[in-house]
Amino acid sequence: MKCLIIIPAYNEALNIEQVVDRLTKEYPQYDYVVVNDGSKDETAAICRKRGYNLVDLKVNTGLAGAFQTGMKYAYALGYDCAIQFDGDGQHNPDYIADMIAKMEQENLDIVIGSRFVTEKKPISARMIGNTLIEGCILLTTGKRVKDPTSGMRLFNRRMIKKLAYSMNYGPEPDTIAYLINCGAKVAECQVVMNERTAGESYLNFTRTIRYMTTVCCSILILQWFRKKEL
Amino acid sequence: MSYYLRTVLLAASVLSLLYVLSKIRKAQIRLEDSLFWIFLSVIFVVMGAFPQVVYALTRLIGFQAPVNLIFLMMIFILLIKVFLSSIKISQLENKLDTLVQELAVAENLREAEEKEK
Repeated sequence: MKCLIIIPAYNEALNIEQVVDRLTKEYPQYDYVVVNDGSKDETAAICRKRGYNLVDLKVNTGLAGAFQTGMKYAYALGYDCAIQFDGDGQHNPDYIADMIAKMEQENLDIVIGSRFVTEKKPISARMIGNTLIEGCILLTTGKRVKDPTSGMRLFNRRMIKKLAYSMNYGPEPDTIAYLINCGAKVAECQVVMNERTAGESYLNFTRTIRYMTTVCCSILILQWFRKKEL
Repeated sequence: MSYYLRTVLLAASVLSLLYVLSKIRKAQIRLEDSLFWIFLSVIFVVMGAFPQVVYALTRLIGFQAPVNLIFLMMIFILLIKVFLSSIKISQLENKLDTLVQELAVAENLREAEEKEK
């Protein structure tokens, strides 16, 4: 399967080199694309200087917009699957092969790189949101997604097309829940994630609350008003 | 309706009508978007000029005072308008995103092609 690694990058000047260099050095068999989401720092300049494969958005469109750009790219170039990969070094490329293998073996639409398949989810403040969303998804789909907030997700060709060209398919847990209800086959694959190496996390307290509200409302309420189709 | 309310209603709606028309004149609003505001101002001009219409409607619906009807109407109409605007903004943002995305992908593909040559 021809796989594309989509790396949305917003103000990741401190991390992007390390992330992409590791991919090109250790995993040259995968193609990648960096989607610069209108960064205010040197992200785009660094990518140009290093000759990275870059899609450069001139204005900031948000994570969903940047990711969707990667999906459009993957679709245009005929990739069989595409993986959402963080530009801050949190995701570990060692596990991409496992995820692709799982997708091929079980003929899945989406494989989530999950921290908690074989590992137990720790009980901590950071995992409250994670568990809450897990509960919402379980309630509405009957399926247990143990790490719904994981940002490492692999999509097959069918999903690429859907996510590239439709509205309201951001790379978030509510999309996963909705797609499960549309009949998409979703499974998780155990991965280990790194701690963020440099830069600041996007999620502060206010943003976390807003994120949780949006995602939970979307899963619990708005989902039922969307047309179910694949 | 008191004379005061009628005067305010009439003056405000005539002024806003003129304002909308001046915007059309200066080509600052699309004709199809201006229609809503023109109709709205005309309705309020009519209500100010012929309060009998408002009285009749008030009795029909069973409101206590004509002024309540006018306020409620305004609120409803504006709420609907805000919602329609919100839809429009969503669609515009979506179009803008699509445009930026397609442009960036096309640029990447063009550069890759040039590199191959």
